[in-house]
Amino acid sequence: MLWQNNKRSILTWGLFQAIAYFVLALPSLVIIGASFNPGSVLTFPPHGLTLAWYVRAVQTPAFTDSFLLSVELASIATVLSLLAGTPAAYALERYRLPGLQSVQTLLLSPIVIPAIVLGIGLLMFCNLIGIGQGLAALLLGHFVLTLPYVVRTLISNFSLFDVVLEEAAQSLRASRLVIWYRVILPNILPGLLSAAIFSFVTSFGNVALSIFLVSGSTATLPVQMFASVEHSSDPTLAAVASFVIFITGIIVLGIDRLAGLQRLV
Amino acid sequence: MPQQSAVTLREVSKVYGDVSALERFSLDVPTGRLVCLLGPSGCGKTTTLRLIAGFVAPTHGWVFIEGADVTAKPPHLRDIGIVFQHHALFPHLSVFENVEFGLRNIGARKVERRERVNEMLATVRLVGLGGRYPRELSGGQQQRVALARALVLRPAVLLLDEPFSNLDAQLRVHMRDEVRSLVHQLNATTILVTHDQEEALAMADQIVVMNKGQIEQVGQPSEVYEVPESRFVAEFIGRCNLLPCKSAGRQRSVMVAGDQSLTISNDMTRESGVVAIRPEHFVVANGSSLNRLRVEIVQFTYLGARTYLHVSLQNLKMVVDLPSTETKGLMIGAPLELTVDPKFVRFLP
Repeated sequence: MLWQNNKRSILTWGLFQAIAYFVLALPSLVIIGASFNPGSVLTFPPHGLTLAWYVRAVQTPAFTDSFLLSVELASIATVLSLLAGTPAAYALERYRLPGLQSVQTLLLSPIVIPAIVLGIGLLMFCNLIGIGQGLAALLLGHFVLTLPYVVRTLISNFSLFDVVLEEAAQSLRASRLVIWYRVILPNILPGLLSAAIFSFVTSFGNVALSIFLVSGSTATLPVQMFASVEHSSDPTLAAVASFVIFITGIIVLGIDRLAGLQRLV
Repeated sequence: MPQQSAVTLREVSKVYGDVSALERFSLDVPTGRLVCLLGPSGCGKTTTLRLIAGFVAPTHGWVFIEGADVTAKPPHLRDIGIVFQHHALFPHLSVFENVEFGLRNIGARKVERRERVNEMLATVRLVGLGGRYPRELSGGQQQRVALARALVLRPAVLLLDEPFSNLDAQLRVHMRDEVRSLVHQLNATTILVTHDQEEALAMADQIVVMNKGQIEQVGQPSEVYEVPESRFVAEFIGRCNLLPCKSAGRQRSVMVAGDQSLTISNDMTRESGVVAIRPEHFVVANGSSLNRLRVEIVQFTYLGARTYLHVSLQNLKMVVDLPSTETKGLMIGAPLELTVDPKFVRFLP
């Protein structure tokens, strides 16, 4: 690219990048800053340093319970979405059957439908089939929510995977099962990881859908946070939020070290 | 059913939609021979290979491998090995693991696997490279891994699908010699699919010339080159002059370009057709030569040892391939008298 030779342009570009990153990181920085503030009101910038709110957060069952529930929910939803989404993406990419295009559109539609609409629909559906609100409804909802991310990520992965490798494996006496676990899965592992992250993060952070599906005893962490921000502005919430940011950061960094993030996206 | 053939196709047809890729195609591949399916793209040669491998099912007909009907069997239950055009090595497995892949699938024990893989790597001269990954190998080495991977299972037939087409010209010639001596050394029945006639002539024990889903001619390389049975074969393999001709009224004699008569080597099956003459079978005529053609020189192409002459016979264009020593003193526009031994002149309907 031409402008790379121009020193001033490089400087401008660097500045632009710095501003962009700063703006992107700003909300996180504010919340992390506020979480260490000793005062009992949510403020920024911090006037001192304390870990008291973290201690308080860990001691608040409403947060710890909902955190565990969210982890559990995101994990199960991710596993289910991978189990259903991998074969689906494979079929959508490999086979040219009439009607498959519509199936693909349907599968990916939850991405474009506003989550609040999806939430209302799911709530009515869950009531209709008699499972009501609660864990089962949440699982179903998060499965629907995360499946499109898995399918979309894996379709692009399968499109890069050479079908001739499968034929080669077949000619070397491999059954379908052996082809899946010794040829296909190892080659799409980066895609699976990436799909799992998308799925987990999407499920873990969701409010708009979950809020319709939780029951009194089963609030997810984001729903719990959303609720508590309504009747208190105490920095425990900032501590919880910061904690989530740290966890997410560690996961992303860890996977970057393991597999290289560039290869995933 | 046939016993001594490694592969037999009986009356095989394959129809894609309303396009017929193969029509009542029958073929016997004798054990231990290297048979080449040769033809232009779309002639059905790749379909034939994929039918034998089991990747496509025939619309009609039967496929036998070593006498057993495998028509309904999936690829992994057929006793075959394949080398693909782009090698198709498993990128996530090392050279050793690539070669070992098939042995695991047939349940060979670890000791046996290691022994056979190492033996095979030695055969294809890849000792010491077992720990490398495919991306770390040259094109020729990748090809050898692909061969080793297929041959380590000692398949009843080795299928080669245009295996040299993505190697550069020099390596291609080298690899085809290497592959030929390897399969002969292992006495492996081999079917090679190619559109490259030179490759077919250089490698095959037997060439099957295919066109439009059917066999045009089967024979040894020298047979299909020297005794083509159809215009298609004459033109597809090597260069060939096809001159329209009519019967001259006598046995084995034709008229070409109006008034020039030629003696031919085979019987005419029709009153008119073409005679096929290879460019290199012409000789500059001397006083006593028979079977002469008077031509005019249009253009020279000097190629060192040989010289290509483009000549016209009345208004027919011909190519003549002469030793450069015989073309000294010839000039563009000058008349030239050529002669050709009748045994090299074949009538084709």
